[in-house]
Parts: sequence; structure tokens; C-alpha cells
Amino acid sequence: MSGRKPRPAPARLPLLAALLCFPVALPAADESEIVFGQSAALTGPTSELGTGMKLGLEAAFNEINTNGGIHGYRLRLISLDDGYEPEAAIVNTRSLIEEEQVFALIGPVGTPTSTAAQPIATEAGVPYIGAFTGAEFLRDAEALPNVINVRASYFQETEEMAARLSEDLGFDTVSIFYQDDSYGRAGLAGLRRAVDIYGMEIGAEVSYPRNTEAVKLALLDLRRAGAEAVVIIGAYQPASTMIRWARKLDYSPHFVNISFIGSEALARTLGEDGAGVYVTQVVPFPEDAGLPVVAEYQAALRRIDSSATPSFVSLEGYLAGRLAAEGLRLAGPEPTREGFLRSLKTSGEIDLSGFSLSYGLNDNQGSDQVYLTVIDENGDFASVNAIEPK
Amino acid sequence: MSESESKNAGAAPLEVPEIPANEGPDAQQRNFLGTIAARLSLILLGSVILIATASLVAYFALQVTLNYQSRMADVDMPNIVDSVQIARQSTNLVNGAFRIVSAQTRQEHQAEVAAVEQERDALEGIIEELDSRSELDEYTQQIRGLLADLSAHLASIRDSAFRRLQIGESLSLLTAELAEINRGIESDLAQAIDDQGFYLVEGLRDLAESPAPLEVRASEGEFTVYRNLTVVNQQANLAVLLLDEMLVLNDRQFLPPIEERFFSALGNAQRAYSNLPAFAQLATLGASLRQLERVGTGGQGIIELRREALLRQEQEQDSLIMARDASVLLDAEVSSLGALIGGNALASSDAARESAANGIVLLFIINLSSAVGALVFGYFFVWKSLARRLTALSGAMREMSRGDLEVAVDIGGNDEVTDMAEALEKFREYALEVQRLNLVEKLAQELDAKNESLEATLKQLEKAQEQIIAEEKLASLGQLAAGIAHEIKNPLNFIGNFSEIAMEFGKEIEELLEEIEESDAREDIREITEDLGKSLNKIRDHSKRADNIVRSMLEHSKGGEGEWRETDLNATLKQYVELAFHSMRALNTGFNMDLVADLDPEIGLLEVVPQDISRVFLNLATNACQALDDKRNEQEDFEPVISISSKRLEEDAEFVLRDNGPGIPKKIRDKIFEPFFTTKEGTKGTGLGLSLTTDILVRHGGSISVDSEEGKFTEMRIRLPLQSVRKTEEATQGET
Repeated sequence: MSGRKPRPAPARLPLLAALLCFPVALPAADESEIVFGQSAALTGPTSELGTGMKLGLEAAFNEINTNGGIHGYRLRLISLDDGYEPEAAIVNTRSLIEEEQVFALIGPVGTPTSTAAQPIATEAGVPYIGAFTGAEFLRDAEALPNVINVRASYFQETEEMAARLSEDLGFDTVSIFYQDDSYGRAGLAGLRRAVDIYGMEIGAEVSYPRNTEAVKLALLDLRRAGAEAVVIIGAYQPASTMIRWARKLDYSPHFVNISFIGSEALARTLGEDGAGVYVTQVVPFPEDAGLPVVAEYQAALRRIDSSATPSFVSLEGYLAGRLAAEGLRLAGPEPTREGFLRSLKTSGEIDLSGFSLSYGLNDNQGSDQVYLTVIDENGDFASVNAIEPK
Repeated sequence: MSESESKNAGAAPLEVPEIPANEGPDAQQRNFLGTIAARLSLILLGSVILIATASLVAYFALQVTLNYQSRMADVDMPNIVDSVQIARQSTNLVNGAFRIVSAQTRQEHQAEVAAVEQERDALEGIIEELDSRSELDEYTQQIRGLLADLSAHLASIRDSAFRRLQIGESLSLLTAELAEINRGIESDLAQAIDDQGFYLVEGLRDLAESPAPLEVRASEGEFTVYRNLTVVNQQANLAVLLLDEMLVLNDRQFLPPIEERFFSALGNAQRAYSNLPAFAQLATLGASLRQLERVGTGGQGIIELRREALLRQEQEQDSLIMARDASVLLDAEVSSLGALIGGNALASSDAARESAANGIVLLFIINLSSAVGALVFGYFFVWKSLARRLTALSGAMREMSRGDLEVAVDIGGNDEVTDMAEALEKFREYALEVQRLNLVEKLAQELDAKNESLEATLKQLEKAQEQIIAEEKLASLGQLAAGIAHEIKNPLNFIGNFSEIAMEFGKEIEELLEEIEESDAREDIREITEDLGKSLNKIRDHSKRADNIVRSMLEHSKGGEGEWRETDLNATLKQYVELAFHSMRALNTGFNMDLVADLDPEIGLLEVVPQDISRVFLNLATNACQALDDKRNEQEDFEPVISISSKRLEEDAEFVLRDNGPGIPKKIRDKIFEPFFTTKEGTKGTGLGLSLTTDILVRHGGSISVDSEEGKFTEMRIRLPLQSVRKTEEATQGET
């Protein structure tokens, strides 16, 4: 790992030889790699999200390093576990910036953790790339010059949910089941905004405490309110518990989850109870190898872990990794954090093998794409365009 | 002769007037004290004595001042500095104590303690020094005692603060533990309450079960479980909040009521938990409650540690106050010590000032008397006796330098100035004498100059007279020559004519001889007639030549105003050069020369006064011939040559006459055209030839220039305008 990557450019040899004649300091071994830091939940109820992002990032970095790196630099990822707790995220982020001196932070998971970690990165001027959250506060490009988002926002996801429920089913009321923290409240705010747009109302608003599965009384509240459509802004474990108990009680409203839920984990924990549960996605369908970037992702994933199956989460991690590499490539052979951020924001449309991202000086979100998926009887995801009536 | 006499008289040596043999100043008998030198010496001596006295006074006054000063510098000042230092150090110590109390970490505490100890050691060092320097034992003992008190307070503060920091560390560990316990309790109870609440409604605890009947799920027992769970939740939360409150509490008095409420809440939670049936008693929840008790109560619990910390805080405040009091006492002691030291310093300073003042008064008196002495001396000696008389003397000298020697110098008194005045008077008298003599000499010199100029004029007059005589001679000679020529012309005509006729006769004889038979006699006669013919030819030729010469003489001797006539000047030039040659040869039969002519016929006829121009040519040719003759006499193998040439230029005709004679020395070349200049001895030349030549040429609008190289050649170059001056003049006059 510590070995320097041989440079595949023999044409540069005369120049190199000329340079060597002068007392030019050769770059130290660790200067030939660029280190990225990740603080995410690698353990606990949200661990599938953290490990998924980590896997995708590693697949992307491995692919790039195998192809000669960026301007001769190898990319390396340091991942620390914060267990989806804001305090731990603060400690990890400080450590990555101050001790590991990472070039950028990448692939953090969650809204409360990002709320805690992002101010530290912004203060230190360290890029904060591809956070696995759609929270609106990270989309303020002017206030947060160091933040680069890949995915669409929660506002866009909840807007899509409201659109589908209103247009496809003609509903005028939607209820919400959310995690009682900043993530859940971000989803709640998004949904409130979305129902206003479509002239709808929010029925029941119920919540559960973070990192618990105390969801059953909330479920009773939903049933009592007669909710027919429930938007779930939560983690896969409590969400699946709630849905399974609903099935047990023969209570079957439309459940629509937000991308943060951790789609594959949700499908797995739901088992046969998962059929008909909708999830909005912000990345393409990971099994759809027709899209070049997905094919490359699948190949990269297989290369580092032959047993790994494609997932929405790791695809998002992979896209974040590819974006970071593209930013470094654009920033030139001597990348600085400022140059990296500037080149991403001023290069117009960035095409990651068919997945298009575009940034601007006042736009730090690359993709506005929201995809609707549904879990079928086999517990697999299917891409759909509309919510089917019962 | 009269000139030279007057000159001699001027150059005769001056008669030096006799200096009146007065008695010299040396001869005068003078009291020694009367001289300026003596008086000045006395004054200088007086000044030296005054200065020495003043210096001695200043020295002793300064010595005394210095003694007091050094006492101030070596003892009083350091004492003052030390006392100020002591006061400041004691304040520093108290400040250090404050910093120890407010230290947040063990490291800070350690650093502050070290700083305070250093300050204290420094303070002890200063007191030590103060002791060694002067006898202030009474005070330093007191100060030492107070310092010991202060140190004791500091030590107690140090130890207490250290313990408080230890407690703080334990408390922060307990705080983190408390947060963890709280999270566990919340999580467990949220789940348990959710489960129990759901069971009460649905009768389900597990997804796999079928619902319990109403009388089972809604029994009193199940409700009691739900109630106890909510009580545990509330009371445990309350207990955690109370512990949190204790952690931030600053007033020890409020600790017991909070403590009481904590025990009550904890007791309630524990009781409610113990009332739960076994299935609902979550092991983690039980453990959390026990941990809560341990963290809150017990010897090392939050309550006890917080109490000790607050108590220590108060004690430290008390110690700080006592330390400050000790410091105030110390300050007071140091102040009185300062007063004592200050008194000493003031005494030294006063003594120094008094001694300095005495010195100043003495110096003032000395200076005053010096000033008065200087004024008296200045008035009576410098002003009255010297300056005024020197001014008079210099005035007299200035007068004399302006030439006024009539006023006698008289300055009274009897000293060196008087001597100078007398000497000056002697000079004046002598100068008067010299002035008179100078006047006579000047007159003589002027007379000499006039004589010389008269002599020069006379010489010029003589030369002019000679010229006039020569002219006269020439004129009469011309007339004579004209007369002679006229007389010779007739016989020459006869000779010519008759030689022609004789030749005719010769021819007739030859014709007659043809008729005579050939004989020896006939041949003889023929030979004789041939010889006769030859002789007759010679007679005719020479008579013609003689005629030519005579005609030239006639032309030349025609005097008076000449007429302007068109003349062939080439011919004239050649003719007069030949004439000059013949004249020369007539005088000197050995003379011979070659004549080379290169004449430009383009010149044609020029309108000139031929008599004047021929005179010019003759003049120049004669000069050339004479020069050549001179050179011939000096140089055996010399071959004299005169070359003449002429050339038509654009507006002028140029005639050049060149001889290879001795040339003209450079230094006189410019003078030769001046009148009366001649190189010829005796009466050979008048010195007017070239001058007249110049006049003539100027009259014709022409010019003459000379070029020569000594020992090689002389070349005279004449230019005459092609357009006659006369015609131009007439034309101009015609126009006007």
C-alpha cells in the first residue's frame, strides 16, 4: 500500500532527468497519494448505510488506482465509525482533519451527524463531498463553499412522493412517520413544502426516538387517524418493524420511504412483508447494467469483493468516489482544496459515464434526479414510474 | 650729446637723506613696571591664581557632593529599588495565588505553582540583599514573618486547588458516564413503554403470537406495569436532570435540597422498577438504575465530589483573602521601610545639595571679583592706555599709506606704543625725503622719452630728404638722358641709313664684278666685298640696338603725369627686365644671367599709365638683378636666372617675376613694403622703391605680394585688373 505508483509516462523521462540534475526535492512517498476521510455509521442500526457508502467509495478508488491514479496520485480512503451519533461524528471529523490531514471528507452518512460535522469542515476549509443525506441545509452553496453534494435533496424526494400520491392516486391527505431528530424533521419540512405545492394536507404526524424500535404506539396513532398514505422518514430497522406490525394488524396504507432508508436492508428486514413498499431513489437502479456507469460500478464492485451485490447505497458511494477523482483530474497536477472545489464548480456538466452532474458557483448539488422504486413479491426492487392503487 | 647728459643725470644714485640721529627707544630709561609686557604678565598671573582658587573650591564642593551621591547610589537607591521590588513581588504572589485558583488543568496548576514559588524565592533573595546592605534588621524581621504567613496561605491554596482539579477530572468522567446511562435508560424505556402500550391495545407482544384476549391484556396487572414503566421513565429522567444541575451548581447552600430531591427521584424510580413483574424487568434497565445510584451517591459520587469541590472553592477564597491581607500588611511594613530608606536618601541628597550650594556661592564670589577686576583692567589699561592710542597710531599709519606725509605722529605715554609711534615718525620723515627725490627722477625720464621720439622724427626727415634728393637726381638724370638720347639718335640714324646705302653699293660692286673677267684680283675683290657686307650688316644691327636702348631711355625719362594708354604689358615687362639686366651689366661686366619668359598672350592690351607700370617693372627687375649679383659674388658656381611669366585670370592679369637669388629673410618680409625700409648700404637704395611700387599698383587697382625662401628664391607677384580702374571711375562718375 505504501509503494509509489510507477508513472506510466516514459515520454516525460528526459524532462524528469533534467529536473533531477537540480536540487529539486523529490516528493516523499506519502506525497504520491491523496487521502480522503469518511466518518459514517459502520456499526449500529444505520450501519448498512455507512458500510455501503464505504464499499462504493473503495470500489471507485480501487478502479481509479488500478488505472494509474489521478495525475500520478493514488487515492486512499480512511473510514471511521461514528455509529450515527453526532458527538462521535465531531470527534472523528476533527481527527481526520487534524491528525490524518485528509485532503477532503467524503461520504458521511446522515443528517444529524452532518449537521455536527460539516461546520468543522467548513471552518477548516476542507471539502465535504457526497454526504449521504438530502438535508436542505447542505444545499446552501454560498454559506458552505466547501460542500459538494451528489444526490437530489429531501425536498426533491418528498416533492416526488407528493406528486405521485396526488397525481397517481388522487390523494389529498398524506401522513408522516418520522425519526425524532434533524433527519426526520428535514423530511417533515420537505413534505410540508411538497403538500403545499400539490394542494394536499398532512394527516397524522407521528415519530419514534432515534436508535430505538419504539414504533408501535406511533403505528396505532396512524391507524387511528385512518392514514391511507404514510411517508416514512426513518431508518430501515424501525421502519420495517413498523411496517411488519402494520401488516400484522392488517393495516395497509401506501408506505413511501425516502432514499436514506437503506433500500436493500429495508427489503431484507421486511421479507415477504415488503411487497408494495415504495422507496424514492437518488441514484440509478444498481442492477441496470445498460447504463455505462452502472456497468463500471458493478465491475469495480466485483473487483474488490466478489461476493458483494450491487446496492443503491454503494452505487451512491461509487458515484461520490468517481466525482472526487474527476474533481482532482480537473484541478491539475498540483491539486489544492480550493482548486479542487473551483474546478468542480466551474467545469460545467460533468459526465460520469452517462450519469451527468452539474455544478455552479451557487449550486453545489450535482444531480436533481429522483427515481421511484418498489419492492416486489421476491423482495427485489423494481423501477416504476407511478404508485399503483391498491 | 645733451640727451645723454640728461639720461646720466636720471640714472645717478639717489642721495639717501641722512636719518636724524635721534635717540632710539632702547636708549630711553623706563621703569620695568611701565612696560605693557610686564603689566600683561601680572594680569595673567592674577588670572591663573583666580582660576586655581576657583578650581580648588569647585573640587572640594564636588568631592563632598560626590560622597553623598555615592552613598545615595550605593546604599539608598538600591534600598529604595529593593523595597519597591518587595512590594511588587508580594502583589505578584497574591496574583499568582489567584491564577492557581483559576487553573483549569493540572499542567496549568503546576506551571502557576512553579511561577509563584519562583516569585517567593526571588522575594527572599531581595530581603537577603537588603539585610546585607544596611542595618535594617528590625524591619526585615517583620517582613520575613509576614512573608512566612503569606507562604503558608499560598501552600494551602496550592494543595486545595490541586485536589479540586482532581475532583474536576473525576466529575467529568462521571458526567460522560451519566450521559451514557441516560441514553441507555431512555432507549430501554422507550422500547418497553411502546411494547406495553401496544400490548394493552392489541394484546400482542410478538409478531408470531396471536392476540391475547381483552381480560388478559387490559387487566389491572398490565396497567400497573405500564404505569410503573412510565414512573421509572419520569423519575430516572428527573434524577439525571438533578445530577446535571448539581454539576453546574456554584452555591454550596443549595446542594442539600437538590440532593434530597435526587434521592427521592432515584428511590421512586427504583421502587417502580422493583414493582415490575419479572418479564418487564429489563436487565439493562436495572443495571442502568444501579449505575445511576453509584454515579450520584457514594464517597466518590457526583454529590460528594461536588460538595468537596464547592467547599474547597470557598476555603480557597478565604485563603486568598488572608493571603491578600498578609500582603497588605507586608506592603505596610515595606512602606514604612521605604519611608526610612527614603529619609536616609533625602538626608544624603540634602547634604549633597547644601555642599553644592556652598560651592556655587564661593564660585560666584570668585567669578564676580574676576569680572570686576577684568572691567577695571579693561577700562584703565586696555581702553585708556592701549586701545585709544593704538587707534590713533593706526589712523596716522592709514593717513601715511594714503600719501599724506605732512602730519606729524605724536602719541603720548611711555611704553611700547610710544616706541612704535616714534619709529613711525622716523619713517614719515624719511618717506618725505624719498618722495621729493622720486619727483625729480620722474621728470628726467619723461625728458628722455621726448628726446628719443624727436630723434626718430629727425631720422625720418633725413631719409625723406635723401629721397627727395634722389628723386631730384633721377629727374635731372632723366632730362640729361633725354637730351643725350636725342643727340645720339641723329648720328645713329646716319649710321643706319648709310650702312644700308653702303650695302647697296656692295651689291652693285658684285654686279660689276660679274662683268669683269675672271682673275685672281676679281676673286680678291669679291672676298673683300663679302667681308664688307658682313661688317655693314653688323653696323646696321648694332645701330638698331642702340636706337632701341635710346628709345627706352627716352620713354622712361618722360616725367610728369603720365597718360592712360592701352599697353602691351608682356612686351613692357620683357623690355624692362632686359633694360635692368643691361644696366647691371653696364655697371658690372662680369654679371650674366638667363632670362626665362612664359607670357600669356591672352592678356592683350591693358589700359595703364605705361610710365608708372614700367617703373614698377624696372624697380622689381633691378632689385632682382642686384640680389642675383650679390649672390654671385658670394657663390662661385652660381647661375643666376630670372623667370618672368604672366597669366590671364578671371578678372585680373597676373605678372610674376622670380629670381633664384638669396631670398628675403622671414623677419623682414613684412616690412619691405614700408617706406624708408632698405637693406642696401649707403646711397644704393632709398627705401622708397617698393613703397612707390605699392602706391602705383594701388592707384591702378592692383596689388603686389611676395613669396620667398631664404637662400633659394624670391617671387614678386603683381595683379592688375583687366578692366581699367580709370574706366570704372569714369563710368561711376558718368552715372552720378
